[in-house]
Amino acid sequence: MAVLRSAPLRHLLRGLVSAVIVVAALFPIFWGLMTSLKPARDIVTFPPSLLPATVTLEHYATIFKAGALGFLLNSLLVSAGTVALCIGLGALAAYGLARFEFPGKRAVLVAIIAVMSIPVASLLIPTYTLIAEIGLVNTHVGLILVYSAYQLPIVIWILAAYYQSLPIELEWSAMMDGYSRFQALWKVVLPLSRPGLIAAGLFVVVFAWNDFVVAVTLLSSEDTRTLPIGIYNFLGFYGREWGPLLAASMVSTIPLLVIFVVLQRYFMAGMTNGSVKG
Amino acid sequence: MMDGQRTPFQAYRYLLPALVLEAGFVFAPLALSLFYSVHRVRYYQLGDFNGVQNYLDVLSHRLFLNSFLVTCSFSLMALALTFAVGFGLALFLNRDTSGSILLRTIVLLPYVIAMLVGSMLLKWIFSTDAGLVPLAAAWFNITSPTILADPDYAMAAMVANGIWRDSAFAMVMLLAGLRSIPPNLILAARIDGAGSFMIFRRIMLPLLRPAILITLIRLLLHFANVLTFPLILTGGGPNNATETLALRIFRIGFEDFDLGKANAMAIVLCLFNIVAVILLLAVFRKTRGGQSL
Amino acid sequence: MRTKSKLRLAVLAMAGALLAPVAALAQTVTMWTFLNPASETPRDRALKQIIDKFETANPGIKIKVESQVWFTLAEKFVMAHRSRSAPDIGWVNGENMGLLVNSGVAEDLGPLITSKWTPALRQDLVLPQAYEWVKTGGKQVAVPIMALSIVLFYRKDLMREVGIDPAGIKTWDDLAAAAAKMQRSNGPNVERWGVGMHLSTDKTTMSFGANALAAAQGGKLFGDKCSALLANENGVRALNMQADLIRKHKVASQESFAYTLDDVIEQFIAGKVALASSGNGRFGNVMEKATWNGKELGMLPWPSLDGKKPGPQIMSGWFASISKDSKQKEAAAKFVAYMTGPDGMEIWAEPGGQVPLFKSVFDKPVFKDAKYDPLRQLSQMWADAEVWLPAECNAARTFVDLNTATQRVVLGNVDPMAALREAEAASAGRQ
Repeated sequence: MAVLRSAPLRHLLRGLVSAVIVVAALFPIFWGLMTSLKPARDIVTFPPSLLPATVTLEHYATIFKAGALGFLLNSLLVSAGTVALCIGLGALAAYGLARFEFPGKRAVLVAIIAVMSIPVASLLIPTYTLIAEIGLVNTHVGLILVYSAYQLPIVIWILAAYYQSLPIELEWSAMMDGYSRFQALWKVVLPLSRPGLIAAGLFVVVFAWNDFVVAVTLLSSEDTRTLPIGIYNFLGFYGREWGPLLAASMVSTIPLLVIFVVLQRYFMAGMTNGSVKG
Repeated sequence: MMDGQRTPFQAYRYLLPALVLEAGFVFAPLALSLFYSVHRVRYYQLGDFNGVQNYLDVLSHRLFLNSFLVTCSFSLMALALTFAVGFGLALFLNRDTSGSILLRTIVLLPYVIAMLVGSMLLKWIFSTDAGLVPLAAAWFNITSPTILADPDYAMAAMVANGIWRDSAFAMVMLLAGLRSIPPNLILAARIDGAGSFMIFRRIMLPLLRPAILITLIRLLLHFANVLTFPLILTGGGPNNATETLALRIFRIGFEDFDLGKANAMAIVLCLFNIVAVILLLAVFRKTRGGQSL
Repeated sequence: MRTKSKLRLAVLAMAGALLAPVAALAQTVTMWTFLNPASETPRDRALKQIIDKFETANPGIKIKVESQVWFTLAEKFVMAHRSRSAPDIGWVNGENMGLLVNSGVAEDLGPLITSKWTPALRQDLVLPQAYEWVKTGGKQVAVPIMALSIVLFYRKDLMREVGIDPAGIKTWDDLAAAAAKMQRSNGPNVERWGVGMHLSTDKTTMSFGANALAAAQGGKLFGDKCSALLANENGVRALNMQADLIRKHKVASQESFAYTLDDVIEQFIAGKVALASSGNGRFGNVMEKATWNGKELGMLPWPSLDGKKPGPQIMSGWFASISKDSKQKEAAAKFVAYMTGPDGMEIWAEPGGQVPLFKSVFDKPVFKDAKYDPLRQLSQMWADAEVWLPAECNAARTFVDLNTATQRVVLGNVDPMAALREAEAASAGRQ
């Protein structure tokens, strides 16, 4: 290090910055978590108290009684399906983009940007109309297809960048060993890209897990309902129910957080090579 | 590439499934949206063809220019600050100490919590009459501003919401970019006597370009299209100071039930977005040959 | 074409694997509502009892409830018709009635329900206008399940404390004076505002100004073809009254411009405001959650600008309609008739806590109990000042236009009349 001044001062500064980061990022969520543990009557008191005077789990009981477990499973199914489809199609398409020069390539690249440019809300009604036309209203399949279509562009982009960073010689040698191009992709490129696939998958899962607008438009019955709809439902006609609302959102955050923590290593590494030449 | 010359359409074997999905679930609805935008569509009832009337109505509305400017200023401020904060975080948390890993996870929390809930919590906290800001202000012995009732503060609150939620996205993308820089490259530069700043400017920045580009474009489009922040945090107010184009589209479509106009406006916003991305790419290209980013 | 059919095949194949099994029994009537019979609130329990009783009496018909998020319910009901996937029965809230009336997706309930009424039953209606309100071109597109109005909540304890008789509040000036007395400050910080207003541009319910204006125009906010009547002298008075509560009397927070109905009611519950308006449906909720003694919750008739007559009770509510596409309209109508008829109404009143829409039901001895006093007061206020704004006009958004005008006057120093003209034009632009 060229500029190593006083070590204790650096430590102090680092600690200070860390503290600011923690407070800024965490405070609203901490406030939400504490609120979710307060009895209903204590929630909107003024002046607000940060910590609950009495801790209760009643709101957590409420949400599970309201079917949160089923919604959670539906969300898992839809998110998993979306990730699978996005990664499957994205891995293929990205390969096409990364390894070939072909007529229309520019158009495909423009289309990727274009799809990301569309405000989702404006597509809701047309999408509903089309999904209804093919009989997929109120099905998880319909939702998975729509989510995948929205998220595929970013997946392709990230993966194409990743593939480009891999030495093409590996594929050549695999093909000389008698692999077809598909087999080379499947057996050589994809295993090497695992971190990239995980990274792309994580972005997709955050969207699919938290989406409300598309889900509430396409789904109508309780047995297909995903967790965000369950959360929004606590914005009741007779008033907001902060307790269950926040309890549900805390619960819904946990799976994503676990995924991030567990896969953090892959996640970082996944983007690593990917962005070198992207 | 050799491959491409031999079989020019081979790539489509890989692209086809993705293209079919996009065609079915993005471009077909988009075509329908275009179709709606040149018709009268009230209360979800398709009416007569009315040409560019919806576009004229939308563009000539008293509040259109306001929304356009609000969208621009929000997007640019949020983009610049979120990117800066995200970059700072990435540099700060680059090392894999347990402290950094914990901090990275904490920073991700605002990104993974449901957007609506995040914005609701922020509104509660910012509220002068019910929230925590006035308490904090009293603690520091200052009079708290009425954040949500003041046009400038309300915009600042919305930008803050953006930074709070999306810095994590920028951090992750840039952190990943940083990791891709071969350590020996930096080591070699150091042995040659390059200072930290020099290394950052001459080695890190150029190698980070792709990551920076993906991050900027993704964030720009996200901020230009985001509905939750203005809808939940500020309601577009006060005095329309935070009414973005996305919010207007939502209100015209789902509160006035005028899908013709809403879709016309959505198409306009989509075109703006594409122009914005093209501008961003142009700026990016221009700097390629330059000394620094 | 090929792409499409391929897509369809692929989609169907996947659908087959994942589709949630949907039972399709012949006489299962599906209903979309925002209530959830599996839940425990008074209204949810009432719905469950109604369904149970109906099914017992009609063994051939099963009612299948699909609970929906309330704020997208009406839209989804209308949209579902475009795809022929609508339920047999859909609940629609008054604010979205324009959608139902204008979209033409509802079956005429005249022949199915209302024409079968006896004259005696017709005489028995508490709110005959509610049925007229949802008639368009002679067709009965819906029938009311529960009526609601925007009422003014106050706290009896605070009124007593400052020695004000609530019955004496006749004009908006009276109200401002009472509010000023109930306001409490600690240095520059207001601990309790005199009134809570929600003046955000969120799709919201009526503001004080809208009520004052409607009162001054004999209960009218719309002229022909839903043209809003805002830019006139009464409009300026109403707007100034509303703005003055913030800028002159300083009895309402400037942050009213950012508040939604939910925000204000929570502040009322927290004791941060002394007066607030809301749908009467929240009465029970406020009473239960109040951080002060909930028994002190009261409802005040609306003041007016001149004080001669109380301001209007702007009516809304939840209505039932039957889909035009329904394949079992008879069965659906049978249930709707039961749910909204005298038997159903008795259950809506107890345990549901709603004003029963038949006089004979409310006259039953069981409802003489003091705990029904708020319902009694409510039905009296309705009788005195009931106003139904035309269903086909998008009144909710016109209220927002008025809020925007108020914001422009207070924050932007725009001339009130100019702001109201803009509001009127904005309102006209969306009809």
